[in-house]
Parts: sequence; C-alpha cells; structure tokens
Amino acid sequence: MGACYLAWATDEKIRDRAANGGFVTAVLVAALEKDLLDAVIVVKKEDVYEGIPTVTSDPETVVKCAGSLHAAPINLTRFVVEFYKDERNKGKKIGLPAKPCDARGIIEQAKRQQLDINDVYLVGLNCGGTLHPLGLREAAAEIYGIDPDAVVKEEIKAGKLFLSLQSGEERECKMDELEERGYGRRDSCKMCTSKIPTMADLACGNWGVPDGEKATFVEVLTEKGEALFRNALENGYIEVKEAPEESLEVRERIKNAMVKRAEEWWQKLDVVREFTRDERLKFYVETLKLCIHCGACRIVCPVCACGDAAKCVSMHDERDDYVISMYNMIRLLHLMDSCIGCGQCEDVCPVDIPLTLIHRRFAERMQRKLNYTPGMSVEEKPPFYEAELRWHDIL
Amino acid sequence: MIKTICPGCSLGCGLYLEDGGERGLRVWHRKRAPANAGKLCAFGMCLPQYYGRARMENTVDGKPVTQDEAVSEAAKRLKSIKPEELAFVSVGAATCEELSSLINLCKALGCKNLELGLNAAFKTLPESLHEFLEIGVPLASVERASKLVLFFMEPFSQHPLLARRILKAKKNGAKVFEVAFVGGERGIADETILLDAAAFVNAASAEAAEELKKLRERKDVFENALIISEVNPYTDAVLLRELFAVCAECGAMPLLMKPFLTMSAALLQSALAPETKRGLSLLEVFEDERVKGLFLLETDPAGVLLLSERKIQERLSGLELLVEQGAFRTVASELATVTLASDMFFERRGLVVNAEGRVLRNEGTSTTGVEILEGIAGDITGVHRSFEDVRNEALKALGLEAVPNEDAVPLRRKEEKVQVEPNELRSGATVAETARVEGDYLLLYRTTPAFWSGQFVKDFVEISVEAARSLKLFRGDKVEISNAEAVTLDFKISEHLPERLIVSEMKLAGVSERLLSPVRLRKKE
Repeated sequence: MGACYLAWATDEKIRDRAANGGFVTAVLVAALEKDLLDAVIVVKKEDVYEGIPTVTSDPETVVKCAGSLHAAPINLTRFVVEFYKDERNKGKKIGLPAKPCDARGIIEQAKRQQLDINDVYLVGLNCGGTLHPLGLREAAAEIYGIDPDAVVKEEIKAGKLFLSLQSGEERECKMDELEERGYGRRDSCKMCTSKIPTMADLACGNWGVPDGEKATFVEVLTEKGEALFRNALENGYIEVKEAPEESLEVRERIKNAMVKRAEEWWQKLDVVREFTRDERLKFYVETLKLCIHCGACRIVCPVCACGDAAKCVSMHDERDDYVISMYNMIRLLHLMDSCIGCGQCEDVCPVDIPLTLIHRRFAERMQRKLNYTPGMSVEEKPPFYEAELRWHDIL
Repeated sequence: MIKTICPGCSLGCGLYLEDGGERGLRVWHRKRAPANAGKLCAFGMCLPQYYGRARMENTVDGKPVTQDEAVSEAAKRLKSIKPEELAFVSVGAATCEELSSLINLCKALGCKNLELGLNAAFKTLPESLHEFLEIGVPLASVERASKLVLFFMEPFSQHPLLARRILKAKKNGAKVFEVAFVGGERGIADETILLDAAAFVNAASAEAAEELKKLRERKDVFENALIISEVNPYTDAVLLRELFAVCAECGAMPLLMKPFLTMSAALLQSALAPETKRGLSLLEVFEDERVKGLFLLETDPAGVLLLSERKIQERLSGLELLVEQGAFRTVASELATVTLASDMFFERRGLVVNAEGRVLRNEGTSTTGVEILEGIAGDITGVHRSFEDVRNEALKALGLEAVPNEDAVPLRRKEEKVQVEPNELRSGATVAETARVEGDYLLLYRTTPAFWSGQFVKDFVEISVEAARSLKLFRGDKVEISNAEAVTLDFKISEHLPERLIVSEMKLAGVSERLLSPVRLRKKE
C-alpha cells in the first residue's frame, strides 16, 4: 500500500465544482501549469446524461470538467490510444482521471506497444460503477417521479443515488432498490470487483473521508503519482494531511463490501451457470447468431490492439455458415486472457448480445487458471500474447 | 466532435464524428442518443468510408466556378425550362431546412414534380392513409407490443437498430410473426408465413392473389398487431395496399420504416406542397421522356435506383438541363449542366425527422445547402430568406413552435387506426410490369443501408442447398446470374432459402431492375 492522505484543492472554485475535495482537478491543473504534463484528457459535461472526452492543455477547461459524471459510461483507453497514433503527440506526457477499467485498458494497450506507460499519468478514481444515460433518464421518471430534464446533478454516496433538481430539491433512492427494479448501474459495473484503482499512479475517492469533511482520500502508488502529488503540493495547489488509521479502515471496509456485493451480482447475473452443457452451448449459439458483424465491439474494446490486421476480421468470411461465426469464436479466444469486463462491447452492440456475461464466463475461468489479472501491471505479459504458429513444425 | 445523425436510414441514430485530420474521420458512440442508445449498425460504423468519397465542386458546363456563379446560372437555366418539364428529386439525406428550401424553389418555378421518395406510395394509397406513410409510432412502443408482424421486413439487415427493439418485445412476452418469401435466418419469429415468391413476379396476378389469401385466413396473426414493414421507392403497390387492407380488417397498426432520411421528412411535402405528392415518382422521373430538366438534391441515382449506371447515364444525357446539388460526386455529376457543392451531412446544421416522428438536431455548423437553394429561389422570386426563416417555416410545417427536446416524440398521427374499405384497396391494385425474361430462379434483393448507398456491400449471393447440389457447386466455385446481362459472383449456401430463390444484398445492375426478378443461375465454368 502506498502513502495515504486526505487532500483538497486550495482553490475554492475547484472545491465547489468538484465531487469531493477537488484534489484530482487541482493535481491535473498543477501538472499542466507547471509543465509536468503536455495535455489532459477530461470528460466535458454536456448535462447529467452526457459527457464528451476532450484533450486539452487549458487549465480552465480542466476546472470546468470537475465533478463526477456517472451516467456517461465512457472508457478513455481508445482516446489515449488515438492521441498517440498522431505522430505529433509521440513522447508527449498526458494525464487523465481514470476509473479502474480506464487504467486497466491503458495498461493493456501499453503491453501491446500502443503507448508508453511512462508518458501516461493515471489519476485513478475509486469506482462503484457507472449508469447508462437512457437508463438513468427512465429511472428519474419511473422511480423518482421527476422530469429527467429537471435533474441538474447526480451523486452516489452511502449506497444511494441522489438526484438534485433545478429547484434545489434533492431526491434519493437506494442503489439496491434501483437495481432490483432493473435500473441502476450497468451489468458490467455490478459485477466488477476492481473498485480501487491500485494499478494507477494515484488512487482517489471519497471512501474513508470523515463525514462532513470535503476532502479526497488519496493513495500515492507510483513514482509518477508521487511526482503529480509533490508538484501540486509544493506549488500550493493542494493541502494535505496524513490519512488517519480510521480512514484507511473505512475505505477498506467499503471496498470489501462492494467487492462482496459484486460477487453476489455475478452469481445472480450468470444465468448460464445452472445450465447443462447442452443448454450452455445452445445459449451461446442462440445468442451469438444475432450478431450482425458490425465490428463495433472490437472497435471499442479497450484491450484490443489488433487494428486492421485483426484475425477475428481477416479469418471471418460471411459466406461461412458456422453456428458461431469465426469473428465471435476468435474474439472469445482472444479475450480469454485479456478481458477486463468493462462492458463497452455490450454497450455498443446493436442487437444487445450480453457480451459482458459471455466474455466474463470464458475469461474468468481462464484468468483464474492462469493466475493472471489483466490490466494490473505493464510488467505482466498476457499469457497468450504473441502466440506463433510454426507451420514447418506442423507440416 | 460533432453530434450528428447517421444518414443510412430513417432510424435517426445519433453518434459523434471526429475529424482526425490526416487520419480521417472517427466514429464515437453517443450512448445518450435516444433513438439508438449509441449503438450503430455496420453502415454507421463505416461512415468514415461513406464520407470519404470524392467531393462535388461548383461547376457550370463542366468548368469550375464560384458558388455564386453556379447559383445564378442554375436559376437562369431552371427558369428556361417549362414547369411541367421539370422535376425535383431528393431521395437521400437532406435536412428539413434543405427540404423546405427545395420545396420553396420548386413552387417558385411552378413545378409539380417533387419527389422525396414517397410519391409512388402516395399515389398507391388514398389520401386518408398518407399520414401512416409519413409518421410511424414511437420505437419504444415496439418493445411494449404484445404482437408483432414483420411484413416483408428482415430487421437485422434492413434496420438493425430496430431488431433490438423487437428482441426486447420478445423478452417482454410478445409473439413475433413474419410474412416473407424467405424466413429470417436468425429465427426471431415464432412463426413464419411463407409466400411463394414466384407468384409475386407479377404481384397483380391471380397467383399472387391466391397467395395473399393465405394472409386473410390468418386473422389471428394480424388482429391488433403492430405490423412493421418498409416502404421504399420500389415497394410493390399490391403488397403495400394489402398491408393496409389487413390493418383495416384486423385493427392492426402499421410502422413503416424508410431507407432514406428524406422519406421521413415527406410530411413537409404534405404540409407545404401537397399537390406535388401526385407528381412523378422516382422511377417515373427516370423513365418519363417529358422530363427535360432535373434538379437532384443530395441524391445519388446509382444508389437509389436499381438501374445500371449505363442506363442512368443514357437517360440523364438526354436531358436539356441537369442541376445537381450535393456533397459528393455521383454518376450524374459528369453529365450535370450545373453542379452545386454542399458540405457533408455531418457538417450541416439542421433538423431531421426520424421514422417514429422524433425531431433530431444535426449539430454541424454549415448552412451552405440552404444558402444555395435560397440563392436560386431568391434569384427567381426576388425574396431572400435566411436560415432561420427557413427553419421556422419547417417547424411550422411540422406543427411545432420550437425545436423539441430529442427525448420527445412530438410528431404523432392524428388517426389511431387505419380506416379504409379493404376491398377497395385490393381491387385498386395496379398491374405490375411483367418480367421481360423468363428464368429458372428468382433473384430477391435484401435491401440494407449499404445497398441503397451503393457502398461496401457483400459481394456474394445466397443460394439454396438444393441449388448448390443441382449445379454441383463446391467451395471456390463461382456462379453466373443472368438476365439481360450476366454477372459472375461468389456464393453462400443458406439452408433456410427456398430452392429457387437467390438473395443478394448487392445490386446486380443489368441483371435485375426490380426487387424480385426471374434470372438464370449457372455454375461459372
């Protein structure tokens, strides 16, 4: 475990806009202003239901993007990869607030030489999960009984989803209740056990912050994290105090409770578990035959780095009549060691194939068997990485 | 990043497009988009390719000119053609504002031939049913329906973002039927009512009437159902009338999808120039020798017509005047007297109405398309309107005071049910053109957004197991499909196909100019 602090932005404007103490925003602003970073990727808030990732070197823009946005379930990995595909950005240092699935995707891309992890500063955010924007709108109308357009702010705390209205009124509902009624977090988030971004450079959040204090609980995890932290502190952008033992315990307790709940959700959502072998096969065939081969799941996948040379595309022939297409078979195999369960594939699937469930069923057992968790460290190579067929050996 | 609408069909899928400079356009999913929850089909995913085509330039008689010169020349030459010899066509992706301007121009010239893609259907059905063509039902109601009938509609190919709604309906307990010449390979329907395609080569024939009786005997299927179908410029009049007759008899509700955004905005035509709904249809424009001058707005004839490029060019080269306004060069551009370059659809500012009646903003900034059209109209009438004037006119025509929230579906039908005398519809069916060449097989086009755009199509046909056996086909062989002309292609063997049916998602111009045609099938030696 790294050094832990309670920290907050010294700039009142940042503290006001931020979800907690404004530490994340202050650290990124400091890094830009003191030339530690060349650019920052932030999510520009359109409204409660929409955010657009933006690359910026303007500290004011970073400040404007402060605050959480749970109903914009974006994975930033592809944006980082696209940033470095531009030759002009090679060697530039960027920073971003990263959920565990963002950080894990970026680390997987680094393993596949799509970026140099030394150039990317990951300000990790604790994450209890994200919501689908249209699902939240429906919940606002159906469960909270309010006009979705009147919602100006959302917040998740103490297991509840709070919606604030233009009038200043605040409504709340227990997340468990929302989810039992078919709303709440995306399925991938419900099942996710990666709650604190220990793979990032800093891990930040409100878990462990004493009641009534507007601060961010920060764990410094790497040298890059230390550099970000020191830069902000020494230049007066943040104030800090050492995190008390009680805060550490509370944070750990919350994390453990959320992991336990995630495991329960996995048991509940894994409808295939109780099926017989034949029923399982039927389920996979019936579900995957809906695929229209648009390729969206591959394009958004934060761990796929195959590009135009992807085998799932080149070995797939629409003239074949396999019960499960080569595209899907290869993706299943390809992701067994690397799937991080972010759910982006399912979000964009035009025919709603439950891809999170399917990939997780394959990946979980394989990753357990291989004693490998993707996206945790650049040093750990994917077990199936660089598989090479030696045709002369076969022939 | 620009918030835009996919121009691939009438569903109105929202997405972001980002200009990546030298590395081209990039598609990002906009999960907040109410029509599609950010999901896109293969066409949507290929939009960078669609937008990567050669761009149109401003020209007069093939020579580069400025936009102002092209506008003024277009106005001068359009005035020189008699109104009854002119036709205006926009079958593709144009904004409501551009269509309002087009209608304004058409009226300024006193022309009654304006085609936004629905004229054939308008002329097929009594006026009381036109609003069912113009406005659908909220797509959310598909999910809530207890019974759905897919009437010659294969949603996974034609409108994939509708398929997920149908799957949700099934999950909610809906029963799904399909009426088709070939059952859907994904088995989405609980029951398929198969009609014999051979009888429908001439849909007004006694054989076809006999086949249609099968439907009338199955009132249990249609009673109070939501019937989903597609209307396009080639929709068979007999089948369209039968659909409405069945709706009237069984209290069913139609939801007609359309392959082009302009078709969804045809209600502007009803409001602003109802007299043009009886004007020439798309096919008639390209067949009627009386048409001497043609104005194409954002329309690629090779995309929207089933004719070969050679035939299209032959017809267009016989015109006295061809004015083409669009973002991309088309088969018509070489022959056009005046070409007017507009910006690409995603770059434009404007409104779009989708198949369900949702009004969506395309959030580009360009108003060039409207400026060109208003410039021409202004030269003719002396009245110059601003973009805001045009938008206000479009909103008024849609019955709206302001641009509505994208989450609402403000355009609703006035009539709850289809009210028409079914037998009148059935007896009034026009006689379809008889096939010119006899063939031993039938070629059925399965239309997709890519099919209508003439882009990135599947370059093979599907044939039956029996056909493959009888022709002794093996992997690697090729087939020849012929009618007036012949094409050689790869094939896929599909178990669900009737013996004599061939399905193609690619236009085989020269082989077939209709959605269903007799052809010959041979093994290519």
